[in-house]
Amino acid sequence: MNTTVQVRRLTKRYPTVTALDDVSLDLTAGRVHLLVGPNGAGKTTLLRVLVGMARPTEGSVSLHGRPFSSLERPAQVVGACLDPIRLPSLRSGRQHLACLASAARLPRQRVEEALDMVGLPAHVASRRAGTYSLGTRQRLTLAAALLGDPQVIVLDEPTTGLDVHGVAWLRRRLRAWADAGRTVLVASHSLTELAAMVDRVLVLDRGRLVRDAARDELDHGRDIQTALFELLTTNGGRGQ
Amino acid sequence: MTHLLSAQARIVATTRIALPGVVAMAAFVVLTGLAPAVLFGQHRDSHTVLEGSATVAVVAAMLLGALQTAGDLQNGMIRALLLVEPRRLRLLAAQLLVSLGLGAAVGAAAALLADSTQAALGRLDLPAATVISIGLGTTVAASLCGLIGAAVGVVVRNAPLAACVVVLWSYALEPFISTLSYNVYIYLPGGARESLVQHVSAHSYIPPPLIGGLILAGIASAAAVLAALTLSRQDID
Repeated sequence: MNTTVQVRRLTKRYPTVTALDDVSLDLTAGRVHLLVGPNGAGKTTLLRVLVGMARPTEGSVSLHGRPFSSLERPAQVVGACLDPIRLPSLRSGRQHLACLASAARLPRQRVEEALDMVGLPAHVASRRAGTYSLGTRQRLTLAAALLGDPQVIVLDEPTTGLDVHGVAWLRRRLRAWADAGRTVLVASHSLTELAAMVDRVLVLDRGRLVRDAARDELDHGRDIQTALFELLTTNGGRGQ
Repeated sequence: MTHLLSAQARIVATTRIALPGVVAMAAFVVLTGLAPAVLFGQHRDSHTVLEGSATVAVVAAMLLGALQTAGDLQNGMIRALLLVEPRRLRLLAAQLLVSLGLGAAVGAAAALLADSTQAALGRLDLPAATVISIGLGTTVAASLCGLIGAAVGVVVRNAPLAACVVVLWSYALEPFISTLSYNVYIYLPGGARESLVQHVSAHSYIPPPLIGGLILAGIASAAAVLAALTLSRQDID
């Protein structure tokens, strides 16, 4: 099993709250990992620490054996899609990707390939990003994540704003990326849209990893959505 | 590093703040140079006009730098960039250097426009060497102040607030300090700018341009260090 992401004893404390508490986990190539948990469980914080946006208070994260900040060509190792709402509003989608491609030392043709990959038409990519709907912003953020054709793909609530065709497309892509040997980590609090695609489920609750299991360990022949729902409301639930 | 400079230059060009900012600055310099003579028949001496254009250029450069970096932090551009270049100090260096270059362009444009308007009015009565050295002083002052503005934007992290800080500092706090103590003022960006454009005062000591340039470079270096400490320690939203 090829471990691509290692998280060891990761703790992230803010002045008033501990967002992550001693979290350790491994992500493996060729798998879709679903990170679930209630609001405030620490899902987004974990992703932000993973890609260097937030600094861990204790513990470590490594991608292909190295911290994210020391990767030589990070865009080709990790592609992350975080909060699509905030985008530079005066720049067109294509210009936004061109700026990122330039910073990542990627050829300009990757911009058009990434736009094609996420199904963003040329005339839409030429419009200012400030005019985009949430779904279009989500696709642009996904295109940015895919610019470097990365080996590890990290997505935070990727179905937000996507229409039914977009969700169907994303489900197919998740499977295709994993089948091509990539590591996929998806954080979501929605159990209905992506659960059927996953290989492993990680459950966070109040900053702690309370369950890390393969999909077939959870569903026992039942519907995976029902199994996840029960898991969240009992094992990792706040009612206890 | 060149790829980051190229990316940052592209970001500045596509943010659509720089060009309107430079055009507004140019219009202001031309109007303030021409209006008194054309509308009221008043003639100010060339040195005063060139100093005025330097002030406008310096404030414009600071504003452009501050709006760029604070805006990039606010609108998620920095986060997107850090995903492809996680070395924060490299990214900051590119931002500061591009702001330095943009400031130089703003300073040079302001000096050329001020010289041109004075020449058009037949009022450019300074020796060529003085005109050139004031132009160079304006360019140096605006470039370093562009860098200082970019550093302010990183520290403040909010574009409207950063703009307020720059304007209040330049048009309220610094003039106020100059009335309290000119000996303190000469060590501030405004005082250093006056040295660089060879301001003449019958009452106060104005350091020579080279000293003014070194003072401003020192302030810019301190601002860059402060911005580096801020960006390297903070979590990015």
